[in-house]
Amino acid sequence: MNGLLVNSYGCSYDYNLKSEFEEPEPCLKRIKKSHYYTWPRRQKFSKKRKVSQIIHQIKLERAISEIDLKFENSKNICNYLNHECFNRNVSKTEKKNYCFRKYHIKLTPTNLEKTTEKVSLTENNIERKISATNNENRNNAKNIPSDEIFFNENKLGIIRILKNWKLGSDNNSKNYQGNSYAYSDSRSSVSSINTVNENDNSSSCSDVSFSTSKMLKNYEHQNKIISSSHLIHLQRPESLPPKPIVEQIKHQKEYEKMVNDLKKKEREGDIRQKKKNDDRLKEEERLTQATRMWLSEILPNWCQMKNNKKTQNLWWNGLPPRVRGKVWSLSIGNTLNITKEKYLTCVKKSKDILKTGSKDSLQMNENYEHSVELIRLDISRTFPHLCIFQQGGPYYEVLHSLLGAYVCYQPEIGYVQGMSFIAAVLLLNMEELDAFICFANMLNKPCHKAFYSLDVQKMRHYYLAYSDLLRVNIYDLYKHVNETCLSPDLYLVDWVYTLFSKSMNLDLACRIWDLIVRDGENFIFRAALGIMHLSKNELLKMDFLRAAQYLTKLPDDICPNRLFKSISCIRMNNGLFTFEDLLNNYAELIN
Amino acid sequence: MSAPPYSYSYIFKYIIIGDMGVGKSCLLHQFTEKKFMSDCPHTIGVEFGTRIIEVCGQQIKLQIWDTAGQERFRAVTRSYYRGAAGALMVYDTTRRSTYNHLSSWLTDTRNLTNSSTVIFLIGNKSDLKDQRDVAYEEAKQFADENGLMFVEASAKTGDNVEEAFVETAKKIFQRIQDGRLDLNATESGVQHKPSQPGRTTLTDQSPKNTCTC
Repeated sequence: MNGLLVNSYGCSYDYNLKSEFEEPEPCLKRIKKSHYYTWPRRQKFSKKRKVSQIIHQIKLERAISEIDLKFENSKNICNYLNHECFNRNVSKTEKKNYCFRKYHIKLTPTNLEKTTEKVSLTENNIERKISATNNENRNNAKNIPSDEIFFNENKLGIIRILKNWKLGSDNNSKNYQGNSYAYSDSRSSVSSINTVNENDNSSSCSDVSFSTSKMLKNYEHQNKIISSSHLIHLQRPESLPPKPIVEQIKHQKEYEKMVNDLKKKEREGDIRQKKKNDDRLKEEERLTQATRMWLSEILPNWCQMKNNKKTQNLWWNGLPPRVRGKVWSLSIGNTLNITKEKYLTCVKKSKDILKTGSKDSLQMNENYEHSVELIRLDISRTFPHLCIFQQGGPYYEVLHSLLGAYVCYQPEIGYVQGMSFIAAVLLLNMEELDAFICFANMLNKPCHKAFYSLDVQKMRHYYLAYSDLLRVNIYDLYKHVNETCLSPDLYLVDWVYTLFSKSMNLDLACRIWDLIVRDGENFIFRAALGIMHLSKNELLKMDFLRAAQYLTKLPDDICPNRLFKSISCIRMNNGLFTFEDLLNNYAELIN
Repeated sequence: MSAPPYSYSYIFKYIIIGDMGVGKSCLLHQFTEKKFMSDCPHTIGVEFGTRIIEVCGQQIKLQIWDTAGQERFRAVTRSYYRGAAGALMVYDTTRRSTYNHLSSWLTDTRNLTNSSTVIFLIGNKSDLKDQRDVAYEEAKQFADENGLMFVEASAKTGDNVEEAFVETAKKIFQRIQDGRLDLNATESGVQHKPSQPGRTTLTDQSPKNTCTC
């Protein structure tokens, strides 16, 4: 056997849940073909197993971290996969192996460390390797406590993927599930975190050894050499003419550069990841404390506490999801005095209209009771990605009756597109009756009343007042949008009608809602200006169309803290005139 | 974030109108992304799409305004018609009511756009053959009577979608060449842009690794 330069590049063959072995893809595509490498031959089978387990563990780590990376920015693993797999016409086997095959195993920092090691494959070395890997992983586990969280999340993610694997036959999905546990479990044993699924341990272990031994057999069959850390063999196979020395040095240099670059990249990625984890932990911690505070101190003494400075600060930082519905409900109040009976009567009435049709109301002016028939068309098109409002979904009927009831409650407004988003957000945070009460009361406030009764004049006053504030706050952007003819109504319509819930990430929209219920409807425009402030630099570079597209579909990864910082920079007055003054001025001016 | 490295000679403004739920946004999505979006949220106000197509050897950028369909939203959407060079009027072949409302959509379009605006009638959801509620012939007759171009399309299968958008562009282009559409008129819906080859390409192309072997 030749002296080997051990390197972890070799392991980028498709990771397959099924143990069928496939020809390793020529490693990293970044490595040029002229860098020949082979797999070291294994001598004893007993060692093979140990070695293969290490490989397996490393691969598990990588596969999982790979998935992490893949979905770091994507909120919905299932959607991603569904989209990726089912929109394409992939064959059945391909589908079966898709999930893990897709994610080639790439370098992780742990394995990069090993790239420079020179290991000849003697027994000692293998043993050293085993203990080194274990130590390393143990250390990792100690150093990064959040690893555990990630691990659990991944596991959940994988299970979610599997649950969504609708097209796979039952047998297949079972198989996958078994194997996914195998993944998680081996990883947990590697990093000495024995958190979950001890039950599956035995089966998973056998899975692992079965698959690896089969893999090895295949390797041996192909007369290839395998090692624990996936080797690049710089010596060229005999069948090929020798490489000129200049070229060899050049390649060596290139190779080193590549390794260094990758190392650097990985290190940066690691730091980013760590920061992200820390942030997340901090956020969780904050939310737990805030929830405790809201539940134990503020909510029981709502009237005294609500205007308290501490409460207001806590509120600004976002309501914890657990108390959000309650706080919204208390804050919005029920000036319309809607009772349960009233709600039920309205629901019944709307159902009657749906059954019998609304012949007489059609002839009446200013009565939009018949619009109850339109609701049906929009329910399943409300947050379709959440998959709960579509026909047959858990919230379809509820949302339908809530909107129907509103039409009968306010026939002069009726159903207007956009309402379903507001009602849906409320339903996601509170019970049906509370949601209806909040809904009706929210829509009774001047701005929403103007918009939902499609009072174009009044809407215009809002746009003009908003434009004034845009000019005062972000003059260069104001100038730019004027030059590109991007009038505010093009994006404000969407933002005001749905209170941001359609055009931005729902979590962030809810945080804006928190403050809309706290500060009143003017906050809609303050938030809008905040968004403009935050995206100023991007918007200044865009033409009309791109800016319009950007604003009607805001990026998913807006950082809440940055947005709220931007919002806090916004002044809601033009000199001595407040937003209300501006509205009144325009109302007088135009009338 | 970067603009596609294209250059184009014209921008045509299109507007898509029609009753709610007829599939306006899906048609647009099919045209721009070549994909069917089975569950797209309903449009509030207006949304935008764009694609560059080639017509008669000219690169044309379509700027498409996809509007909310609810009748009552027309108060808002009426302001979007201004300066549209093409109007795609969509109805749902499986819902007769959407067809019945065409005349009011047509009136709006005629009133709010200029005489050179090309109006194209699209009967969407043609894939749902067993649920058909409006006969092809009937719609064809309506289109002929009103001088509209007409096609039945399916945003789901992609059938005729491309054709509808491209035919409209061809017609507009033809009108420009005939001189029926005045490029200098403020609301023609067409902007003539001399091609600027290289300018966008240079700034937007990030250096990629080039393979030397």
